[in-house]
Amino acid sequence: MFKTLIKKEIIETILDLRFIIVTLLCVVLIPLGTYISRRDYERRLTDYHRTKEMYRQSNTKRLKPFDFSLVMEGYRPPSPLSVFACGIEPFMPDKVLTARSGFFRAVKESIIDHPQSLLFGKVDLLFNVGFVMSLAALIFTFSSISGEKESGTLRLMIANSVPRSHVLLAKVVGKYITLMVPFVVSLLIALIVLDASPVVSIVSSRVYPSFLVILLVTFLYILAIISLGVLISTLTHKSITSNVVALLFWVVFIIAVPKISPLTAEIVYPIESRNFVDMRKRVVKENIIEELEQRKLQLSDAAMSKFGLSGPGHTVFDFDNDPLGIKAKAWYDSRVTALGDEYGKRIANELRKIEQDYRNKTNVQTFITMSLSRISPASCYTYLISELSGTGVMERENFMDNARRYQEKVEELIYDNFEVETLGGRTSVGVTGELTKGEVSPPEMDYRQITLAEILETGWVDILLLFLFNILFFVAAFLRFRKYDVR
Amino acid sequence: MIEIEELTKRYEDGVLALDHVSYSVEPGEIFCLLGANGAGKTTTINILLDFIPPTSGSASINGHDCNKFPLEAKKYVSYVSENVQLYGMFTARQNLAFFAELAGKKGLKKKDYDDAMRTVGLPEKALHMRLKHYSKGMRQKLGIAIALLKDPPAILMDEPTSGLDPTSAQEFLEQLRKLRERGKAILMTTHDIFRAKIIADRVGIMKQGRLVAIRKRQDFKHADLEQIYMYEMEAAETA
Repeated sequence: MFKTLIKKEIIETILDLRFIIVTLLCVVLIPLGTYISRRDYERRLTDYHRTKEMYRQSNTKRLKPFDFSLVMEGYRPPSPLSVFACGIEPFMPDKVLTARSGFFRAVKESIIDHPQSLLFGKVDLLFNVGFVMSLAALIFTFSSISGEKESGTLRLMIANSVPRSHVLLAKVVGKYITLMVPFVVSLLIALIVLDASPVVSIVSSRVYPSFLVILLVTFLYILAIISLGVLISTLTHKSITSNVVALLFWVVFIIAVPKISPLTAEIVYPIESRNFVDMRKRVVKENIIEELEQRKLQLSDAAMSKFGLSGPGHTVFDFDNDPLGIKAKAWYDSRVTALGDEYGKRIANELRKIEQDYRNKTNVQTFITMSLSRISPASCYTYLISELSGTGVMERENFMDNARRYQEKVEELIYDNFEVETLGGRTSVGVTGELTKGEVSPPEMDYRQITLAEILETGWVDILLLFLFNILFFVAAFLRFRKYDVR
Repeated sequence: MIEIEELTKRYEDGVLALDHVSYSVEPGEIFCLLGANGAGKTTTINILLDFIPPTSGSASINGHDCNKFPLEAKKYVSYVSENVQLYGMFTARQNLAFFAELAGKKGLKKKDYDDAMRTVGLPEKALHMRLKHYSKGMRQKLGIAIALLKDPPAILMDEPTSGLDPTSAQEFLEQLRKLRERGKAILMTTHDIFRAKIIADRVGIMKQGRLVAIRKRQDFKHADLEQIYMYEMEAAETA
């Protein structure tokens, strides 16, 4: 009987005009979106290799002893999985600039060639499933119960010895199978399009495990929306009302909630802007430097008075020839270096504290945003797919970790081989160790991608939530349908 | 076969749709429920099919309580509604197959479908027509064909002749006779006193949720059923 009900659902849906429209949408949008994403990835990969090589060639040079501000550049490779979800890739830094001071900078090197593509969003798998398929799932299901009631067939069906749970479950399963057919066919075409690329291989060990999880999560997400659609159809008694309610749910849950959540988090837990924090850091640094200058002046006065250079008869000082002047200078130099180091550490410490404080607050705000947005299955899906594609929020942190490691590597290979000497008021820089050989290639940034296990370690919450959404929507639909007036 | 005992239904808004109604329909009997709109005729059928629960009393089919064991009770009954609505995009055969399989009749052959179509007077070629091209009369006939394929001992019909043209209505009555001959217990609600007189073995007259009278065929065979109906309605009014 259950099979009969599913078969009927499938045939009924296939014969519906909505099926033809959804099939056309899938077959056109998914392969096309994949092709565009593939081309975009190929371009970014070429840019990455070209820029890296050009940088290597132009910077393999003899290190100059006075090149005190030597900066090394490390580049982030694009993720091959970004063909599935663009995520925050366009806004993510792709280059790190090291510094001898230890404060590296993350910058965005690549220029966005087509800003319109950002303005309207990318047609990647995330868009196609998150928006198009979710809408298709609701279109397929919003009137599955109310529509049958309206046409009178539900009454005739229930007049038979058929449990209502079977009717409801068959609707979910039947609609799901019918929707998955055009989706899977379109996805297969998309994979062929992807496989035609010389640089993307779906069977590579980097891509296919994540792709399988992406598929699993996608199937789970679509099932959740199908269940939501069936729930909506049990909440109403007329298909036109179901239509309006479904549209409302789609706008609220798929579009509004994910977009409103960051704004809500900003209101609930406001934090200073990045610019303000940078300005605060600058002010703190300037204040400490000003204090350092004062201390230096006091030290200078102390040196003068200690060696009797501040009294009458010593209006002009000769620190190079006057024996007292030489002594005073040496005394001053021996202390000012230590003072400089002390204040240098203090500045670094203060700036680190401000940065850490900002990061902690940002983490809290991010947590609030993500928690609020997770009332929508679309948010859970977006978080998961973007992370699995290497273009999510975690990837930004991962880049910073890579940047930190690169800074350490550069410090070890280059900066630590610098010899800084301060003699007679002059600072000179020399090199030691390997660097004395002259030729040195800029060290490469060994970019470590986030592993699938690491993504799932944090992403399990979203997978669990998608499961719960499925259960919640179906149970709610069942409870509602149990008492549904079929007359 | 169909047993109604002290059946009462009061809706949430306070309306008393059925007031301690009792009767039964035996195998090979056509029982017509007559009454004005809102008299409680359809409410009885809705309770028998477990569309709504009764407030008190009981309704059973083949000994199975329709409220306590609805799935069991519904195994023994078919339902033909006032306006048979089937899946418009399906062919008649697909509709017949679907509802037959729901009733547990699997592996039906072409002959079975052809027989059902012939019995209800539908042309063979109509078997492959989509239901959206069917007239109301044809749909009503197909509704009976669905009931025939299920072949249950009891059939509930909710104003089945409403909206049918005279020829179709006449053909429909012919189908009812055949079903009675096959021993089916048929409970039919109707406004159509004329046809009730032709076909019914017994009639029940309902007014404002009460069953005010039950008349056997011999009571109205040679009398004017409309007069009996009006008389009983007035008597109920004064009572």
